[in-house]
Amino acid sequence: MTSQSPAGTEPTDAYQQAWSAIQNMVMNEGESWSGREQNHLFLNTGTSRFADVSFAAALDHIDDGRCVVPIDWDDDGRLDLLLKNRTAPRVRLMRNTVAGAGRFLTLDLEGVDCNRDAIGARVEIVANGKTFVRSLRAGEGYLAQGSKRLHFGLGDAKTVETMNVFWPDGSVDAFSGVKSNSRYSLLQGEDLKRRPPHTVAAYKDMEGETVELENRRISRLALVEKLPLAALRIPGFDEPDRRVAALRGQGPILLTFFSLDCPDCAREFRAFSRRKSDWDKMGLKIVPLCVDGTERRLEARAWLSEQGFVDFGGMADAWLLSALEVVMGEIIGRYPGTPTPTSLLLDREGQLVLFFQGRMAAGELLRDLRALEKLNPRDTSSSSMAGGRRARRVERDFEGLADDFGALGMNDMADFYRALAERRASEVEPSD
Amino acid sequence: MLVALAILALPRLIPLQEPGKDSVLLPDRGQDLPEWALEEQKRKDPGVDQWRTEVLHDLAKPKIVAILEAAVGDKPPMAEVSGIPEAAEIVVDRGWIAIRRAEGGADGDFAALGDRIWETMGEDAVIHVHAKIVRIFLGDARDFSSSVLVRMDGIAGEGRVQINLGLDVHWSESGNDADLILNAAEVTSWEEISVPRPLFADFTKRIFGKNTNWRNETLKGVGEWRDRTDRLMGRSFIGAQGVAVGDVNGDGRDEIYLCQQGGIPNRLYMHTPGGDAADVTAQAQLGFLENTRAALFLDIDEDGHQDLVMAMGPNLLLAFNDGQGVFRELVPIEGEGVEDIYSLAAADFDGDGDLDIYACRYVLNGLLGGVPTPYHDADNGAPNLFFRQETSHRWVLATDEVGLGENNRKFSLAALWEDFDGDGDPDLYVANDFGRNNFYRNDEGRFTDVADVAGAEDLAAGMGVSSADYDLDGDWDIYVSNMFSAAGQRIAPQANRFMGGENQDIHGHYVRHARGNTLLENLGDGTFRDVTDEAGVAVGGWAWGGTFVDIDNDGLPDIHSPDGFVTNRETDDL
Repeated sequence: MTSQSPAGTEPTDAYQQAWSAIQNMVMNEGESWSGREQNHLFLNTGTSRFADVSFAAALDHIDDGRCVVPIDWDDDGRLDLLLKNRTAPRVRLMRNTVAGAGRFLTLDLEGVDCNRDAIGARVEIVANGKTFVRSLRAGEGYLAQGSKRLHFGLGDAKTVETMNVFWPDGSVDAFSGVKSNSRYSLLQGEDLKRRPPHTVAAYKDMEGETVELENRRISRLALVEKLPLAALRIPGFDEPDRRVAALRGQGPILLTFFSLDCPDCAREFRAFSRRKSDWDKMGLKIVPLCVDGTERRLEARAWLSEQGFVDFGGMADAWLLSALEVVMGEIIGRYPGTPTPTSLLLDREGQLVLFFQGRMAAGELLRDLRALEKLNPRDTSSSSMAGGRRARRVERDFEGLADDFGALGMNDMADFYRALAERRASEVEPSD
Repeated sequence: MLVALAILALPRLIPLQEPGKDSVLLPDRGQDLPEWALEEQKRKDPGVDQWRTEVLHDLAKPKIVAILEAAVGDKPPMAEVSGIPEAAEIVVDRGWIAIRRAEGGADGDFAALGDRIWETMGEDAVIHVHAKIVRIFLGDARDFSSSVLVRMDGIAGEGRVQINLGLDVHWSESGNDADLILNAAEVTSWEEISVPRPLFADFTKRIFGKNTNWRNETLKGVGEWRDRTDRLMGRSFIGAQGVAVGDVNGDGRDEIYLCQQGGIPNRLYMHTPGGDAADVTAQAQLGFLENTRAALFLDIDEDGHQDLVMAMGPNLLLAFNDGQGVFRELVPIEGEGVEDIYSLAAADFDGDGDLDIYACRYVLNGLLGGVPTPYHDADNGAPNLFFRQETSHRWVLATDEVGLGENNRKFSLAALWEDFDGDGDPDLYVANDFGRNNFYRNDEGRFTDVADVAGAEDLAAGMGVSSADYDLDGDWDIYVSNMFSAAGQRIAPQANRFMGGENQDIHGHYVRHARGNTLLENLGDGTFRDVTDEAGVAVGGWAWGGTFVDIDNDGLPDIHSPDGFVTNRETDDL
């Protein structure tokens, strides 16, 4: 029981705090809130009372359900259900297998004297003395739009007595004696056209299959806008620290934070070693950064040599980890913590494009490197690494980064971002 | 309800100590919670607030399931049960499904109840029990009773049997903290459903499984992608992203456009001749990374090809189909303010031949003042927007001009255009969280909110709206998705405890809020009667886009209700 709402319109502190607290429990502490609830199907029994047949229908998923869209996906005259969830699977296609379903009639409308989609059209069918009505809508349920194909279930009626189409402009097309178990299309003012079914052989005798979920975590985060990190200071084992800017060569850079005691890290480095020739080909420079503290410096360097890493690397210090934390704030918006290994893939200009929290798949990294090669190094966008595009331009928060680094006394970083912010302000607004 | 208000301060940045030796590179600092927040969290335990019914609920809940499992097991509890139905009357008998109902019955005990259940399930069945306690009635001294909704699921081979029953269970506290004494029980309702095989089969993998995004995207939920997307595209947690279907390539099969959380591309799945949903996002150029809440396929430029409207932030983005299934031309339509648009609904409201769009919005962006207040009937949400189409590429905001500015500060999540009053033009029903809904009657392009006089207010936590003629009388009935809350049902009716015993005049609203989904029967003239209870369609869960669908082609619209808010790793639910 959290604090309750006031009866009036002025929110009290306690009430606002209750919202915050409950939000924190759900967002940050792993609590469920009406979680694992079953979805429901209510069957219209033709009496005044529906029946909850969720389990009998096999629709009692415990997904966090959001949308349901009826759609005859297999074109067999029965409406299947497209479900959209918050939880995995994000989408389900539940095929209707009702063995004794009634006859049907479907209708595709095209407007001529009204909107071409015929949104707002109403169709009334009289069959077996009963009137069935459907209308064409755009937007129903929650965040959803259903099919524009009007679907009538008609019980055992082989033909319909009348079918009247009321178009949004007020005109009416009337038909009679139309056969059921058929698909029609209608151009406003014309005659009905029969449409053949799409016979999909692949569906014959196919059984459904439970969707198996995996526990594997996602590690990869693709930035949609690159984050310059040239000023980041990387400690060396024996050599002096180097800025990322000084590490820059012909190819991308992978900063990998690892621990000697972390099996996932060992696995990751073994995979790195196995594919050394691939990385060389792509010009990738891997910079291992051990997080186990300075007293294990020799051990770390020796271990890396065994793995074949003799190039630049070092012991991650508190400065670098603090910097990493600020970077995570900028790309994630909070500090969710991160395991070892954690890796940052920078392009040849020293700009962050991918951030891995946990072990990466070496094969995926190779694909990413190829994709990175195709990116224009001068373009600040890295949307393609996230597999998509942007409708609007967005910018990294250089001012915010400067402030955050400044607050930690990391003035070189603060200056770096301040300079970037100033340069951006002086540039003409770029167009995307 | 999906308020996400970040009132908590961001954590301070603290330089790390030398890193430790476990495999955690940087720990999750969580948030530095202020004292009040910790206090609020403690109150999750009902004992802290001395909510006796809730403490009893927490004791009784696991026992109910155990008792019912024992009733169909070897050692039925020794207690009397009344109302065990002898025979149930057939309501639906169609071969593929049989539904029977019973009222009243004989006195017996849990062993007799178990026998009766087995009689229905068949001896080969494997039975699972689900139970929700919807009321606790405190009696004298240590006695109390609980009203329980029970579902017993039985599987035998391909067949399924489902028994929905109401059960009143009478208890005494033993005096020993954790223990309850079962006194007696009474069956208050009984419904049996049996099917020779399930009515639906999961074809998700068959249809989507060949896509390269199957494992990482389709099989991962919004929560699993949390902290794995660039915050510049917005951070999502609630899963308020929808779906649209439309025939993009004109081959007579509907494609699927999946709206996604920010940082993951929206997806266009083409419905292939082979029956797959093939990811063609890249070719179609529709892989927008912006958090996209809703989309509509519409032929906006009337060239015979389905275009796409997307809700991104407070704006619309129009993407025009070039006829080859490529959406090269983009036209942004500016909204107003900064608040996100949720559901979209299109109609030709003024009969000028083109479509216009109503866009729902939810919480105000401001932090303080954004909290829905008062909870049961808030009027401080973000205003909804009405976009009137001037030309295919030019849309103007006409919300106030057409009368839709009235009662426009609700927390709106969904809207539906339909000619509810049968006068030939589309009216508008808007489902609002935290309070009453809007029912805008359209009089020649001018709107008036008549929800109260039309009996369509449905003061509750509205999330979704659907319409069909469920009773075949020729007019449009309405199904509103709300929240069914067993906890709310237990707590809100306690006049002397709820809200500290104050504001008793509004307690009824809270009871109503917890009832669940609502079915409004159209009386033929655009006024409505709430028939939810007699129709038995309230008890979904935390429901979203409940929608009418005739699953058996008998012409009678059935209802699917997608339920559930946030499933996290903790099974213990708030």
